[in-house]
Amino acid sequence: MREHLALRKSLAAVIALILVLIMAACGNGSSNPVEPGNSGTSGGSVSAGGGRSISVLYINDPQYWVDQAKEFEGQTGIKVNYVSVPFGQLHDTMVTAFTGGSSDYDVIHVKDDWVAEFASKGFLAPLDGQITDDMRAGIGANAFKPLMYDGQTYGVPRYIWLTQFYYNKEMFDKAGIVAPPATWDEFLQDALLLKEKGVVTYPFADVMTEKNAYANFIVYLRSRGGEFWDYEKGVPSFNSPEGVKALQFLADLNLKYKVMNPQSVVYEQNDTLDNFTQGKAAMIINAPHTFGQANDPKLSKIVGQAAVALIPGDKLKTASYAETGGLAIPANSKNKEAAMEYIRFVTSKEQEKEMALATGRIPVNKDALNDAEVQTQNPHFAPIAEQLQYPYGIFHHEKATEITDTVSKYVSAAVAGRETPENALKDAEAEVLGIIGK
Amino acid sequence: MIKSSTRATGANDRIVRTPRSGLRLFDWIDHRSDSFTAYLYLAPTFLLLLLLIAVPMVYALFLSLVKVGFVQGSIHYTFAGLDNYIQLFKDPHFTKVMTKTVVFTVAKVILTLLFSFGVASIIYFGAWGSALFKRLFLLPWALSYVVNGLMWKWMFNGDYGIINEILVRLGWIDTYKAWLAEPNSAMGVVLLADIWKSMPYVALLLLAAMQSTMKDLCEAARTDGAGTLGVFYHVIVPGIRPVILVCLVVETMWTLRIFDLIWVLTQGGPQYGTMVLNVFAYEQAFRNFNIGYASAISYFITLLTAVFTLVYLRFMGKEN
Repeated sequence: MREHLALRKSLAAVIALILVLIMAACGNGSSNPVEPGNSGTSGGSVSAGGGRSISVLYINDPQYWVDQAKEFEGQTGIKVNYVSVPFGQLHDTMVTAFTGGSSDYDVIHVKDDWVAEFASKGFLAPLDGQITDDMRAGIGANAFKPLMYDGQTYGVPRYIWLTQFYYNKEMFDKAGIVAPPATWDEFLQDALLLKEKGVVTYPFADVMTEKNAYANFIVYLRSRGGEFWDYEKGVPSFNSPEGVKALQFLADLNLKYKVMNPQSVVYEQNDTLDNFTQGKAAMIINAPHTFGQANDPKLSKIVGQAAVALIPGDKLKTASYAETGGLAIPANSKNKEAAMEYIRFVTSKEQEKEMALATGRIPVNKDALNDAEVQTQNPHFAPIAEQLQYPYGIFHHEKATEITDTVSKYVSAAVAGRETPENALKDAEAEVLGIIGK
Repeated sequence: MIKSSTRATGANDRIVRTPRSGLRLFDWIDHRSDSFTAYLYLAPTFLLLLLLIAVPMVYALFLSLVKVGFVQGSIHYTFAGLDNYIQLFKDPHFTKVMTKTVVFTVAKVILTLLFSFGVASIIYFGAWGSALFKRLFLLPWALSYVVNGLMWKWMFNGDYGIINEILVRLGWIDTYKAWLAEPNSAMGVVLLADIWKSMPYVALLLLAAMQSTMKDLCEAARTDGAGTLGVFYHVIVPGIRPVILVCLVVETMWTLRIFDLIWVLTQGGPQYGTMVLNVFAYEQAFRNFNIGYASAISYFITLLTAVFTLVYLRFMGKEN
């Protein structure tokens, strides 16, 4: 009898456990999406302490982002559940959440192309009604444009991830080069000189991976007068004489002149940056975090040697590529009000200034950007105004990731010498046309 | 048995049968048949299996038969019949992906089996160093695929990887090589990393089979004058044949659904050089939003696994 009682108790315990598990699983998240126009009925989920809470999906490098979230917690009492993933995994993490109907995240990182991709499917909440006049005045109406889709605003800009030309002054001095190159021809001559004089084995490193080669390819393409996409016709335009010339130049840097690090086909932005800061490359085209890392004695062997200039040009004086990094609220978020409070806080003038000082990122808030302290601490901000006078917009499309993945594969293959530039662009164009159904 | 002994007890039984509401359910259970009770006890497990395996499988099958669209954040399904499956065969990358999948699977399974056989034999025959080897050979199996991938990625790094350094010092290569930048060498690295991780499990199975069944037979063969090689070929190999079959089936299934290791090392590149079906399915689902198509690819992988398994059973399973 005692055995029987014990068994019955264990049976009851197992049934209870299963019920608890099922209830927990069912209670977590919701598959009922909130209409995009709905700004949310609750101000934030109630945490154990009785206050509101939000979940922020973002990166944690540098640590500043996490510290900023803590500061927000301290000032508002809204608890921030900070979920960080490496930038390379951010897109796929969000897609997994969106397609599963998850309401796990209240604030997410977006950039121009992701806005078009996500908003077109209704995954993002429009924010026009929540963006105050003060915010628009501080940030500037133009800065919002990259984060708009179909006439509505889906993100609040935080920084501009502008591609710039960085070079090592000391290496240039050793090679007897007196000024940064103004054209791609000068760039090649300088690279050959740096190699010939034994200053560095590979003077240049670039991002030519199968996922991200498209971005810098666009820079070379634009400076030669070409463009990646014809937005009027809605078709690719990279397969042009300018495109072939740009890709041939890149392939030649690697295969003919051997001035580009052959590892570039597997380098992401941080790899080229490491190459530069470890003194293995004299020139890179990279994002604003370059300057800070190059001058950080813990991370760099070239402290005080980095300098910045306009990206070399050809037909155009210069051209660039810039993402607008912003914050958005998923349509399924249950805490839109608190999420918007977080966005207002981190994009305020004071926080934008803090961000520029702590991370070297280019703030979108005009006052923060023009702040004397910010300008002094970030010499790489000096050429920004002129750089932004030339083409720099990011490619955006509802199928942006699929298109850029495809183009990057072919660009990378051409740089590695597995395809001729002509064939690579021709095949890439055909495949992209297939993707967009034309 | 338990139930009948319970019914035979006296005083305690009366206590349990008092009409307290919390116990009525158990009284009711007490009066069911033994098989009913057994099913009841198994029900939680069945329920979990249903939720975790059957439901996703059925849902994925459903997804593979529809076009999945997103409108205002909601998922919309349009019945597509076998369109997603037909799309796979029409995909310009299908031949390449399929070839890589088959080459990778066959090479990995055969090489893993051969190396595992070697490892198991070293330990079984007590070769020099086998005691230490016995204690260490399970370590790769304990690593996660992601950690394993990162480790090999660092070792094969083209700037500071230790493999490049060793090969340069040995004089086998002149300069550091970007191993993951070329399709063939990238495939080699992925194979090496996966074999290294899978080998301990297979070796353990083979070793257990050798140790549990062979000793008497080996001694008898030796008494009859067979040498070490004779014992190996005529006694050990036929004796562990059923375990080899199990290893083949299990390894093939695991290899066909490999994802994380390849994603960490190459993301399927360069130029589809390591793009196997499962990585291709991930790209379609989570980078390109083609959920229905990705589900069809997943079901195609299941079909492929069944084909591989049937081939093994056809050629190796006859006698077992």
